[in-house]
Amino acid sequence: MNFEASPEQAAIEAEARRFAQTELAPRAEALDRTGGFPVASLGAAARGGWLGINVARALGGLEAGAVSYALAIMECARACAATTVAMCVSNMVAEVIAAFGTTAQRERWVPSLCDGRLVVGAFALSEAGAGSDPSAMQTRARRTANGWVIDGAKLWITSGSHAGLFVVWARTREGGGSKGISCFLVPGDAPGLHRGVPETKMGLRGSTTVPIAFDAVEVGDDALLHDEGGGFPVALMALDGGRIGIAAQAWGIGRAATDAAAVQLADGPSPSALALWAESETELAAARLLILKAASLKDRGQRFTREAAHAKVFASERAFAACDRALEILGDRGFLAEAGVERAYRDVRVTMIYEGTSEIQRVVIARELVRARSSP
Amino acid sequence: MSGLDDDSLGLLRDSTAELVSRVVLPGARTWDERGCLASSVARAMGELGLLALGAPEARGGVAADPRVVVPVLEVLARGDGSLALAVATHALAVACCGERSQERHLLDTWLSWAPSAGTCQALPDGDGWTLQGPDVALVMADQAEAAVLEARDGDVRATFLVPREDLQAALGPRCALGMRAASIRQLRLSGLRVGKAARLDPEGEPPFEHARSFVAAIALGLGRVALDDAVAYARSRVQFGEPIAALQAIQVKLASMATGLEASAALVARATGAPSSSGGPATAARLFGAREAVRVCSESLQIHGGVGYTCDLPAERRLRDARWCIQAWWSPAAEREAIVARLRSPA
Repeated sequence: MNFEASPEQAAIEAEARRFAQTELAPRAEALDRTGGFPVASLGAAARGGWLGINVARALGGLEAGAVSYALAIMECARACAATTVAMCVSNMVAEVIAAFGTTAQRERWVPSLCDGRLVVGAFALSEAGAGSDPSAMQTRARRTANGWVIDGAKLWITSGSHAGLFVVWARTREGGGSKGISCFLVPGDAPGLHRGVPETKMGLRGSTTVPIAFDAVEVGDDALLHDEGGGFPVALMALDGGRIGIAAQAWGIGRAATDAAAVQLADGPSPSALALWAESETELAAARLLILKAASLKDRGQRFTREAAHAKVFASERAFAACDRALEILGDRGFLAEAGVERAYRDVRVTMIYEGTSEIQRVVIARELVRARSSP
Repeated sequence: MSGLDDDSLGLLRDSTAELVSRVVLPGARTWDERGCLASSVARAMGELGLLALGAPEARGGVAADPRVVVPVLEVLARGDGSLALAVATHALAVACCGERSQERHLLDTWLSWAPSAGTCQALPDGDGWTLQGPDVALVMADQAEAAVLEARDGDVRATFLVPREDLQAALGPRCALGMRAASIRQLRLSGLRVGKAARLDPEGEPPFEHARSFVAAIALGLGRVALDDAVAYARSRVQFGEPIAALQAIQVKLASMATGLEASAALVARATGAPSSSGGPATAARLFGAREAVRVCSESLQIHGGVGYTCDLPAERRLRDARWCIQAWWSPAAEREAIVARLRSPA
């Protein structure tokens, strides 16, 4: 058992910290205040390789592995959680195409996701009536002579305002529940793909969350990712990895808030403030181990569904608690924008919701436990 | 001596509730975004008599008795935390103004109030005083015509009614997280000069216990409406083929939220029903109630899922507003110390 990062992983972490501090941190407060989309920061992320951290070099990625990915996302989220979630989703899209795509699909899409030509990728699974229960989706893809026609409406699509590529789940067969769902690669400029007005949110105001309408969007046969009817496992596998990313994002936000509060502790801390600080440090340390454990299993090619759920539910809930304690340590000063802690409090709250709510993570954990017990 | 019998109090609550659904709920999101209440709201509050809370009864006011103010604040907080906080702060200020509240203009514009006694000293300086003390959070800093500031002149309570223009230079950054429409700003007390005419010096102790009860009432109102919305949403939102209210994971949350609010309400009732002193029932009601409100508002947001995180629904705003209640005027650490001090003092 080794709790240390390898020299390569440590180097990625250090490089990510440098990137985050020079490119993301200086823009984070203004981005939160004015909203919009961090095009410039994401361009810099692409140039640094941060949109394909766990993607093969042959496809334009850093090939640094899942542990390095988690370490890099933690560093980025410390600086700007809004830019980081766009990076997380784009990495997830690149990884899922690299894992499930044909050679032609990989070569067509993955390098241009990694180098920023597509700006970022987006993950279009949720719908108004299909959130925690994605198999209830209504979006349909109908076969045509030379491809598919997609009709439907997706909701809560991160980066939906700017993404150059959407991974879209749609029903290709009636009935059959989740088995009738397929996955498609849809370019952002496809005729009939309409980007709606971004949501106004409590936090992550520098990331766009957008409804996307598909109005008879035609795509070719080569747009189908993986098998027809085999889309649901693709989504679940992508989300397993995605949860490591969101857990790492939450950790980074909690870390940043705790650091901001610790500055206050330098001058004459009260015992109660020190106790709060100690509690946050303990929980952040535990969350970090859960995140790296899940990432390490992923790197070794082992099943990590339960571990990713552990990491996500614990890191997000404890990071929220850490942000709350940071507010308490700072007192009135914590509520001012300049401390950065009130932004952290608003940003971190969504990590308990997206990519599977805490409640869904607990369902996943319980299901995995029962599965392990019933199989010899 | 609440100044209102039960029937009158019931009428006041009903008309406040009517105003909340007609004006406050529809306006609250915009007020939050703009960082101030609509100017018409002060007039509406005045017409209901809610700006005369704390004024002498002989002048048409209602004593700042928590038995009157607390139920009204709870109803207002169901509409908007910031407005409830503005009314609570105004009532505390008016109660300190004593005879000065006869001046009519004090009863149709907003007043602010900030506690700082004990730590803030008023040092004689020419024909007035210079204040010396740590910064305080000033509610309605940009909207109140004047603020009542609590200080100590030696061992004596010293209270000043300071016009907004005299505070302007000492105002710092805004509270960005919650209660945005109540435009809370840091006020630098140290070096603030106040003139002779500003001194009020009402009888009695500063209304700190009332302030705690009022915050507890606001927290309770935020929590109760957050629970109501969560129940309504859980009954209408269908996932996995049934309303999510049928899922045990959601039922456990709702039961826990309701239980917590029952406890908060009991503490508020206890703080309201009898005179309170430092570290007593009002402190407990505030400390427990604000924390519970944050938990309930956060769970309500969670039950709403993604849409709860958007500003289209009040869930996220209520969480931000409730979070301020934990810090309201006194830190939780200071409140716990007050409770312990009371436990250790001989009965």
